[in-house]
Formats: sequence, C-alpha cells, structure tokens
Amino acid sequence: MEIQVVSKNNVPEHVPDDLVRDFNHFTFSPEDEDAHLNWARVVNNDIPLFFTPHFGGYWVINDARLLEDAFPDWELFSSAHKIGVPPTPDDVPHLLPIEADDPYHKQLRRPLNLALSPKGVIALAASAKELVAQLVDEIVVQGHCEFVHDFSLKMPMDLFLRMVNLPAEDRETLIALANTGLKAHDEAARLDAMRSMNAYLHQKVVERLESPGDDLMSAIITMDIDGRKLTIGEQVGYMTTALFGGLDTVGGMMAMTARHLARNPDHRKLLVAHPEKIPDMIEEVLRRYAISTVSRFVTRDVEFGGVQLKQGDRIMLPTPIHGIDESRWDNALEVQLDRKPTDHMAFGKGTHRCPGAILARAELRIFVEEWLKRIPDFAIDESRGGEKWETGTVLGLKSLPLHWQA
Amino acid sequence: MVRMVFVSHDNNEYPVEVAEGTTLLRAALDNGVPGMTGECGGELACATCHCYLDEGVRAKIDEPGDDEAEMLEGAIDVTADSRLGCQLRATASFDGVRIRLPASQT
Repeated sequence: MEIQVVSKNNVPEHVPDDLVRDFNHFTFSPEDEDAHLNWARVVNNDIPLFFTPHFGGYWVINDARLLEDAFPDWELFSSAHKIGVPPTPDDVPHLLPIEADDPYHKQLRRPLNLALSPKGVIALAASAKELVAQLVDEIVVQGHCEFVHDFSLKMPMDLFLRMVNLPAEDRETLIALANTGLKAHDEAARLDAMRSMNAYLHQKVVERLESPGDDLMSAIITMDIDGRKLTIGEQVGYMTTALFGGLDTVGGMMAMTARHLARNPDHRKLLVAHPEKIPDMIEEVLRRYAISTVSRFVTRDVEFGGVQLKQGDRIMLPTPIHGIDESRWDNALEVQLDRKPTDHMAFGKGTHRCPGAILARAELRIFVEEWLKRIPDFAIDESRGGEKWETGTVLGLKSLPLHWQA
Repeated sequence: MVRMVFVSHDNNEYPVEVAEGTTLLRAALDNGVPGMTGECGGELACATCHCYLDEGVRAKIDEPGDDEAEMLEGAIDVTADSRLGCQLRATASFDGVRIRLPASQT
C-alpha cells in the first residue's frame, strides 16, 4: 500500500510539500485487509514523520524510535488539549486522567494505580477467570462463534461492570455506545454516542455519590485532589476513560490473540502442552499486534525527528507501528515465543503508560488458558465471512468468526 | 560506584555495580536482574519494583514518602522491610547491601 502525496490544501506554511501524505487513520485500510500489514508497508517504506491534511491537519509518527522519544516527553507533547484526532468539542468532558498533564494527571491516577496494582489484580483475576470460564462453556457446545460479538466485547465489559458495581444488564447498551463512540467513521455519530455515554455515567455518578461503596467507581469519584473533590465533569470524564480503556483495548487484544492462535496451529499445540509459555506468547502478541493510537498537542516550536514542528500542531502516536518496524525488531512480523520483548509499546511509555497493563495481561492469560483447555483446536470460519478489520483510535477486528469440532 | 547484591526469592544472588544516584529499579533492569518488573518504568504508578531492605540500611536512609507508602499498599506480601525500588537511589549507604526480591515479581 502506498499513501498518495497530496496538494497543499489545508497544509500550514511550515510543513514542506514532501512531508505531506493523504492519510486518514479511520479509512486508510479497508475492512477485508489486515490493518497491521498495511501499516507495516507504510512504516517500513515511508518517511519517519509525515503530515496529513485530514481533520484540520496532523503529524503522524511513522518510526519506532521516534515513538519511543515522543511518548515520555509529556512537556513537549501535551495531553491536556485532548488526545483524539479530531479532538472532541469543548462540551465533551476531558477523558481523565489521560487528557491531563502532570502533576494534575499523576494525582488523578492514584486510585486507578492502586485498584490496578498487583494486589488489586489478584481479586480481579479471580473474577475474570469465573467470567471467562462461564462464557467459553456457553460457546463451546455450538462449535462456532463470532468471537468479537460473543466473547471479546462481552467478557471485559462484564468484568468492568463488576469492578465499578454497575448493573450487568447495561452491558449491551454500553458496548454499542463505546463501539460507536470510538469506531464510527462519521464524526457526528461518534459524538452522539460519546454524549449518550457521558449522560449515562453522569446519572450513575450522581446516584453513587449518595451511597458510595468499596468499588472502583466510588474510589474515583470520591477522591480528593489538592484538598478538593472532583467536579462532576471530571468524574464523568474519568469514568468514560475507565470504561473505554477497560473494554475496547482489552477486548481488541483478545481478538488479536484469538486470531493469531486460529492461524498458527503450531503455537496452539505448544501452548496446550506448555501453558507456562502463555505469558511469553501474550507479550509477543502485544508487541506484534498493538492496537491503540493517541495524539498529542505540540507545546512549543521544536525540531523533532529532523522536522520543524510548531506550537499548536497535533501529532499522532500510533503504537501499532512500533512492533512491526523492521528497523526496530528482527523479523518484526514474526511472533517468536522466545523473543520475550520487555520494551514494546502496546501500553505506551512514560507517565501516561496504561495503568491497566497488569490487569490486561492477567485477562489475556486467563482467556488463553481457559479457552485452550476447552477448545484446543479451532480455525477462522471463512464460510461465515472470515475476519473483518476496522481502523481508528483503536484498530482491530470487528468480526472474527471461528469454528471447531464441538 | 555502589556495589549491591539483589537476592531473588529463591536465593539466587545477582551482584551489581552502579553509579551513585542510580535508582534500585534501574540498577536491576540494566543488569538483567529478574524479579524487578518496573511495569510503569519508574513513575511510582504500579508497585512492581517491590523489594525488601534490612533494618541496617533502612536506618540510614529516609523513610518512604506518602506517595510511596500509598503505592506500596498495592504490592503483594508487604512487610516492614518493603520499599519500592524506583524511589530508592544507590548512595554510599547502599554499598554492600543485600536487596531481597519478592516471589510475586517473577
């Protein structure tokens, strides 16, 4: 795949013509093509940093090392001006703590850090195991499933609802809103869903404040910051992030993991015989199939990666390119169980690094363990349409039909 | 330079020598010591650089600050000896010290 060079419409003065590409992260890869392979062609053939005029114009980092430099530099690359491309309008609350800078951001993260700490995750992992086992037991007798709908959207949402003590019956509504809010190509549809999600959470926050418990939602909305309580906007924005983060990204990585195992019988056989190698496989899957993309706001004029950036520019940091950059990893596209990468970027890097990494790893491990115990052999079901991809803030699979001998 | 020995939960010893001022987390990671995960990279956000210090060295260094004490609540098998390696810097007080690592960080 090659990105077209475009004319200078909507391109600011300081951006040289030869750095401009026609790139739209929502549409750059069609649904019947592997989005990682299309990214790989871009990252391994094109310049390390390019500019696209879409959505008011933004830079795209297209190089693993530049990504490693950009993520930790929170003072140069601010998150406080929102992290979406395009950013949400002013009436949509900041997604907290991610759309904030230090030291405010660090203070906001405290209850999340504790809830998702090694100790916090012990109890959550027990819950996750129960939910995974229950769901796979339901599915296994069918001999087939649409993995995204039947499993990877459901299981993390069930766990999240337990963590924040919200009703399990709200699952389908929230899945639909989260999906549209993050994935819809139409900006108006995304915003509608985001506002509906905010309205839902607003109501729940108000109710919970009247009778807080020992759940994560109560811990977040009753926290003190600099001797004050959070505002309702902060509380709602925080809960929205928790929901997106705990749902879409974990579920997305589960689908990537399931797809990898469906296509690699040798890895499946090895893990069935040696379940102790599952964590090594998961780390490689996280490297090779990273899915999240964030953007930042450039806080001062600066030369970065040999390119002049101006204060106020937006710059996109796509983690999917890191693990597939051949200049960063030998045979980057291969999942090698003995590679044991400790420095991949699936969870980002620096102060904004994903607070849910320990829980995400536990959920992925438990999913693979429990799934392979019950369904050791399975494949992608081409008769049901095969896999379908989607791109955007979080890229991944929108459907993954699987089948096996029931 | 400061010489220290990391000791795994099953008593394997990993001697290291690092420049003064290096955090204990960095000292372990840079020298390939297993069992010091440092998930968050040293941001005091994850409690996976949990380690144990003997009373001898603890008497010579500052007590944990409020933020470290709070984050330590998220570690597993916490004792009076518990500290977070990202908040400790190798100084002369650490020369010859043995730093024990928990079973949970393997």
